[in-house]
Amino acid sequence: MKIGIFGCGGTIGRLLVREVVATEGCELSGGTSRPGGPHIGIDVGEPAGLEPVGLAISDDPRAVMAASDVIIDFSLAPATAQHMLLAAETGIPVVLGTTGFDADDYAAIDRAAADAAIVEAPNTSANLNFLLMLIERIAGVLGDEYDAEVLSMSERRLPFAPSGTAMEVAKTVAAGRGANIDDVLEKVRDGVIGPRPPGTIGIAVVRGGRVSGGQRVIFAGDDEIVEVAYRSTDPAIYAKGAVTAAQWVVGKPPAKYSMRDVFGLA
Amino acid sequence: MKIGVVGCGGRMGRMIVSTIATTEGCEIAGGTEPPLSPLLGQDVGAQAGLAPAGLVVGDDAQALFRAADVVVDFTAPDATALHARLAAEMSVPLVAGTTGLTADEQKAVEDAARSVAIVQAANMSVGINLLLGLTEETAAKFGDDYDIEILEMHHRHKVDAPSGTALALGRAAAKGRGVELDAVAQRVRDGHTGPRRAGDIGFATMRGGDVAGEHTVVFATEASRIEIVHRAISRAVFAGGALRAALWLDGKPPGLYSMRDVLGLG
Ligand SMILES: NC(=O)c1ccc[n+]([C@@H]2O[C@H](COP(=O)([O-])OP(=O)(O)OC[C@H]3O[C@@H](n4cnc5c(N)ncnc54)[C@H](OP(=O)(O)O)[C@@H]3O)[C@@H](O)[C@H]2O)c1
Repeated sequence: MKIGIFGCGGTIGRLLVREVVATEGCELSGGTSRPGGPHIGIDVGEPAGLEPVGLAISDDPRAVMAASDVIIDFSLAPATAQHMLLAAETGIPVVLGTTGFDADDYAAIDRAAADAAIVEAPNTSANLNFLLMLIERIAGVLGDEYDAEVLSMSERRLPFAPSGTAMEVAKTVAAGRGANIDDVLEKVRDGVIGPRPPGTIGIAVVRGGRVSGGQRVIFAGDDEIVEVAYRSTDPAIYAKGAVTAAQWVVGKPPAKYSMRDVFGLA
Repeated sequence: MKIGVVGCGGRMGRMIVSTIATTEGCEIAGGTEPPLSPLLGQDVGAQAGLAPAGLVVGDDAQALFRAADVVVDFTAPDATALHARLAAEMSVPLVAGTTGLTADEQKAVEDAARSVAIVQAANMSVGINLLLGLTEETAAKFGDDYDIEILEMHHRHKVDAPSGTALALGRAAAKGRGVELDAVAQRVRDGHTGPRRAGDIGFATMRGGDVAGEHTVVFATEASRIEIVHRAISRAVFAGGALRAALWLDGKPPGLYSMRDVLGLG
């Protein structure tokens, strides 16, 4: 299976290059980086610290797509709309690991999913996705008499908040309760905020350190509290999960899929 | 739904009476105490610290079963065996929370459950039962690659360790893995312990202050970790769970059910 990587010079991109090269049945078919950026033209293996693989990092995602059975995209949000247009045009499936989307980006993803299989994957860790399944079940059993709060920590570099993973966690709580996240999300608290409105889902954001952090969901009832938490210390697990998703999505009909679909965690 | 409370003057009995008053869909049908109890003749609500309910505490359990749609029992083992028989005779479902039943008393409950629906649980807390179910499921899903550790903290007066709930969580994890807890439990670590044995289930105990009871189950593997946590705040959790069971019993066929059945955790 030929896998192309968008954003192959980035933190996760490099790990992806190593993972694809190390995975049996997978072959690297190319990589892109930001047009005009420092990686264009060098060997795809170089940022990853590998021997040259004989492919130059390209600034032309269309060409890489044409050479690939599937794309793994861990670039940055401003590139997503273009990448989604190309997916729709070519029908090549994409595992979309990039996060930080605005409404236009989400619309572009939904449009592409009519013509190509897209795995929307704001967190590709198998364990985090297992946790999402637990969270949905817990939210369903406890209902909104238990106030739900998400506490989310990410590495210091992440430039937007809440992180894609934190939003995915909050959405999952809402889904478990049969609610829509847009109606119940409380993203910031500052100053005189009054008592907590019932049924809302709060997100508190913490930042620090170099590696990816963790997520905690607190379900606080009057007489008991249930919590689930996830921590990760090595971003290589994201690359592993993304390659699993790439292998899974090849041959799937056009639609938007989630990592829970990939891992069979309904 | 009209709920009868046998042993309505006990610590849990009074808690049940007051929780009925605040639970939608529940109405008190009456309460009993044993003959000679000083509470006989008092108002069921008033003796629980509520407004008078207009019902007096009696000692005729049969009459209470007749007036109730379901009966909640947090009494003594011999009384529970008797109440189970009454439940069967009168076709009134029972929620049995009493612990410490002898084999004969347990058999009386099981016999009764052949002709009436009974929910029996040593711990009626919704959160703890969620934890038990999710721990078993998670242990079954993850192999020995994941180290399981159970951490508990209780108030300084607790005399046994690990707590009964910690051991129950350990049994749930062992069951998920298809092993006996005794064969894999690591209840203490001190001195030169050597490396952790694959497949062990470890326990750690903390004591202090007035902590009502906290349990954490950790699933740790390379580079990531999942935790499931329960914090008890007050004994009212048991009453809340018992009423959830009582409401769930409405219309259920005969059988002996657990809180996991009530919560739909399979
Ligand atoms: N799904 C998950 O599990 C998961 C996990 C971690 C991170 N993420 C997300 O994945 C994305 C990448 O994360 P990261 O930590 O690897 O960030 P990063 O180190 O900043 O890498 C992003 C890479 O994308 C490149 N890039 C920018 N614009 C591009 C374009 N138009 N075409 C192709 N490449 C482009 C950048 O090139 P330059 O360096 O030249 O600008 C950079 O090398 C972020 O959105 C992050 O939030 C997701």
